[in-house]
Amino acid sequence: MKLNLFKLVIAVLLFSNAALSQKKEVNLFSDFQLGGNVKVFTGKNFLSDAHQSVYHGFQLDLTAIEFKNFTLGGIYENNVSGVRKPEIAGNFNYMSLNHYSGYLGYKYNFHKFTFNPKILVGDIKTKQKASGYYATNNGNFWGISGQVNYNFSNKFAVFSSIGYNFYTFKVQTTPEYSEYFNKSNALSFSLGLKF
Amino acid sequence: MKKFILLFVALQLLSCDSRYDGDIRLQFTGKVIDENNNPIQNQQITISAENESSDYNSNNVGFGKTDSNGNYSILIPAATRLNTYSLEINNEFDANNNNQLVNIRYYNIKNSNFSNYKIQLPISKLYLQSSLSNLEVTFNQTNANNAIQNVEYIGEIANEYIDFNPEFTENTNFKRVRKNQTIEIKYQVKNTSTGGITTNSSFITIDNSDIILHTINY
Repeated sequence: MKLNLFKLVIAVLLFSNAALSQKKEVNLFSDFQLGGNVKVFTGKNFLSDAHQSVYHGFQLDLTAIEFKNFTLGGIYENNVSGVRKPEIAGNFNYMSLNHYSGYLGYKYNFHKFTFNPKILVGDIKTKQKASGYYATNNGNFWGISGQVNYNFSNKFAVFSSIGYNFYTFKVQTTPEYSEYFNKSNALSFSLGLKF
Repeated sequence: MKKFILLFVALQLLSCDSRYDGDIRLQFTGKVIDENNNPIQNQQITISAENESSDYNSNNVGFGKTDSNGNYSILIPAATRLNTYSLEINNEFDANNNNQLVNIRYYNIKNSNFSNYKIQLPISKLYLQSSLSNLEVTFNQTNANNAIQNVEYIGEIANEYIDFNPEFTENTNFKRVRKNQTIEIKYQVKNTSTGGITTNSSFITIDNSDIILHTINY
């Protein structure tokens, strides 16, 4: 599994570099980003209140199509946090969030910097885990983010981004807790490398 | 080879973690008091999901404590493979220690017991282990035509194991009762030849003994 992932990353890097070097109007797989990610869930809801509100993790971002500074791509993010209120969360050790999103962005180039705002839409899969059992749940989210790249070259840059996500779930529970389980929002901070 | 594959599949199934449905969240609420009717704070509550037919596969999926008023509210995701729940109050109870509170276990709770994803459990009274006597009642049939029915205990009874969906009639021969009180046992005797029913009461003085034996002739 790890070997396959490594091969995939190498293939994407080679492909993106090849695409960059050709200066086409439409670039396929032009950028690949890898970075650390922190999500801070806010408000009083299941993800922010029943768990530690800060979720640590990583993100992978692949720009699939780039056309006249517009970008279309996909992001995978995984973030993990501990349980704060087991009486609401259940008797679990930790919560893992998997984000799968697609985005539309636009690149503004300014000297060695690139500003890249994005609009994201995606699915979130939650997994609460304990020894011998687990619980899963699915939801949706949309978000906005602003990214700044410092370009060392055409092929290599460091980036940082800040974003906001709004989440909806379809949890069936008592009316008292319906809103608590079904809506959430988070600020997202990332730092990493672009190839 | 087939046997090997079957064994492999069986081992895989045995090692599978139990899955819970996070799309459904069930709420358990209730209150815990001591024998003097004072709320008990910080009392540990655990909830397990189990198989009705076997205790082999169970998970302690819920955990919580009572607040300053003795109230608790615990949510868990719904079980997908396990079909009953049990809620235990004070599961660290040690039967050999007389100076601690007894435990109470509500078991065989099924999805049909929830209303709008919530179940409200009765007020749970935790007695001190040293405050309880074991009352053993023998119903002695002296007339072959008589049958006993509708036995009811009136007094301070410690209900420690409560079956939410009993399939068998409750054991009326053994009760855990508070010491230093009078227990009334109300019962009906039906004469099977005439069909006549009489209602009787038997009063038992519970002193400071650990075991009380009592016989009712009918």
